[in-house]
Amino acid sequence: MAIRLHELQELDKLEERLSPLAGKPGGDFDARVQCLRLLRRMRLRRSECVVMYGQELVKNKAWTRRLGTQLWDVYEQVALAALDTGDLELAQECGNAVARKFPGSQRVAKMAGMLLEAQEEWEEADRVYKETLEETPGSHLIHKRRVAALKSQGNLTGAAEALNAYLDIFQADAEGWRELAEIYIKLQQYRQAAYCYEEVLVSQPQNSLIHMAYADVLYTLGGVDNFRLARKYYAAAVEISGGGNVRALYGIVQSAAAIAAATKGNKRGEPESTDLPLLAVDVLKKEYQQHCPALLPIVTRTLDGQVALL
Amino acid sequence: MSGGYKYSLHQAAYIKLILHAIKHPAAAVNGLLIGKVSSASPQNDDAGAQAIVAAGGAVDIHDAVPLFHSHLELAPMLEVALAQVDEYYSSQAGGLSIVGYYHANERYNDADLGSAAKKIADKIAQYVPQAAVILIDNTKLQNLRKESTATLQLFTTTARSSWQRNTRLSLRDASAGSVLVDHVAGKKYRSLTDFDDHLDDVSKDWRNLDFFR
Repeated sequence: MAIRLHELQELDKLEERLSPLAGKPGGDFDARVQCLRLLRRMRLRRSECVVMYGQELVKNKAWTRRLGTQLWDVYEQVALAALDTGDLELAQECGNAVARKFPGSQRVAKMAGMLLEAQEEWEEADRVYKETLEETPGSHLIHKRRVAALKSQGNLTGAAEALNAYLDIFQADAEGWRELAEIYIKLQQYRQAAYCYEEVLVSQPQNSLIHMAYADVLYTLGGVDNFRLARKYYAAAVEISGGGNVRALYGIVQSAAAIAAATKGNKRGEPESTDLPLLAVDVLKKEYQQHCPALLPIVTRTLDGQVALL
Repeated sequence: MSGGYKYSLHQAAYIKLILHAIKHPAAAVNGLLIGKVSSASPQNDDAGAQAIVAAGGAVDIHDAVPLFHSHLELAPMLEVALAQVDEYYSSQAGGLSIVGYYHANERYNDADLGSAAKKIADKIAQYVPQAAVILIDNTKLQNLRKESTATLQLFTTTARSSWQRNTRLSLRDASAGSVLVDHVAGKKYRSLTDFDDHLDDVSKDWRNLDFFR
């Protein structure tokens, strides 16, 4: 959802109006409610602001009644913000209130897990997520939270497993596949990373970043076939991005040189065409001539070194 | 092979590599160490650590070239960077060359030299057996101490074991710590350019020639 300018302006005005009330009890119920509502709608993560103006709303009995059905959203919002600012007591208080009202809900489970994470009770947190997923395997929210939690502990293998379980259900989630590719890259499991990028490319065939990332992974895997495929995807990235994509241009030169090195002395098959890498070298030299002439001599010498291999 | 060598880090290198890590607090970063290896008796290189200590073997790290803050595990752009940095220093007077590698992990309290870092370090050690690998301790970046190299952990490799912790790292310049603190306070890291930035915008020069001016 796009942020609307008038909402931002309204938010600024509200914060100005509220700032004298920071940390004080009472005062300006309407501005507090509207400020939090705007932050929710705009999905802005101004946790300090939420805690500062929101905690009075949830602590004042008369006000909680006035909030009506909004109360539960406010509780959740303040709880998550309090986790950010490290106010675990407030987070617990708000979380408990929502849990009493909606026992067994996914949002409650997520909050409970996050509270445990904040206390570094990693195993307990993961147990909450896993149990929730056994009951509701299709919970987008809990799957994503579980992956984030495992990642933040540095358990990349666990995060990859959790994300795979999620993608078994949500196969069309390109962002999920992309995230999994990034995890596999960090684990240096390049073959799996390549597979994930193939999934992303199905739904984002015009995304030059994915073409490049896929080509980088293939090149890193190595072997003539992968170098050839890498060259093809670098070339596609250059084409999609309209020519001046420096990373992809370098990628073309690198993979062409790698193909040449790997097939050297191999008499079988057709000789590789050098049109593409030579063109890439030309474009690169022009880019440096135009934007960074000081580096042109260095770049020219390294590129010429690569061309000599072709 | 590097057991007896002393490693001395010059101010420019120290400041650049720490500012690189500070510029990207949520990401792993890496870069190259530039300097000189001097062994008084290179023909005795295999005669064991004792002989080299006597000869005063030293690795002087003059400068650092910041490379990447994303996808450190992928080969192609790293190869481009290595070739260009190598080409630049070999064309310069002064006899400087790549003598090592630095790395900061993505996660705050991860103090291990991971396998991706070791792979790159191994590559450099093929050419420079005494190569220095410096791991930046993220937990110490919050509270930089003026006088110490406590933020840094040196690793070196020997014929017997690869990438062991080594305590023989020192700062050459006494002023380095306080200059660094000034630079951090002045948010100087914003103007530090790494090879990643350069690939996104070629007009940004990874040599950072004007950085200290």
